[in-house]
Amino acid sequence: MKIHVFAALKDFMPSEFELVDSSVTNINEMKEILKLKFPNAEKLIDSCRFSTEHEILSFDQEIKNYENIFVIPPSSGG
Amino acid sequence: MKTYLLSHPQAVVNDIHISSVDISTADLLKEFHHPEAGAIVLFSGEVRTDSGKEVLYLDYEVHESLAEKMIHEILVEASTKWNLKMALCIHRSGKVGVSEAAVVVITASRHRKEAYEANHYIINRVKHEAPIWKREYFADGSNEWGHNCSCSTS
Repeated sequence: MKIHVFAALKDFMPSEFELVDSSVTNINEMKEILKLKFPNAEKLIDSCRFSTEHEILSFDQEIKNYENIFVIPPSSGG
Repeated sequence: MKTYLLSHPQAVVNDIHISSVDISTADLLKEFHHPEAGAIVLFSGEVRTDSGKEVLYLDYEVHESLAEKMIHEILVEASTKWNLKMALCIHRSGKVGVSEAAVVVITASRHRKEAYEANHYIINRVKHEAPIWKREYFADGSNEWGHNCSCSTS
């Protein structure tokens, strides 16, 4: 599946990349994999939400059928 | 002048919430009237020059499909809660200069109390929840991602 990241996360990883890991079944597991791959972003990843194109995903959401997952740091709009 | 589509069965809620071009508050206010609304409240969140260092401009990044949906849901919820006649929120993406509008919220209701309260509610939720991020560009040549929203009372 393709991972898309925003804002300060891009200081630590590409803005989009493929995550090829068949052991990842839900958002919590994905979060842990991302923290292992990008240890400098661990604190920021812990504060992130995850989504599809149109929906925020819960941490126990199964993700095996998703093609795109978006990693959302805390908002700073306005 | 940009045209903002307005349609919703309960209240009139605008359909496009992210704009890559300048937001004209004057144009919006000119268009934004309702025969049953005695109160119109407009909030314009604008780029200010002082943020510890002199700011030249902000650059907003947006998860657009999700932001559109979330802002629309916030407007619909507020419209129901305060019985609004109209509700609008538009947030900029891309580069926004000092004194330009980064986000505009307009609420219309029969009386002012509802319009004020709903407007405050909408901007707080948009700032806290919508997947939008600002990068600040400073006069000294540096830049940094904006701090996380802490606007619960401001």
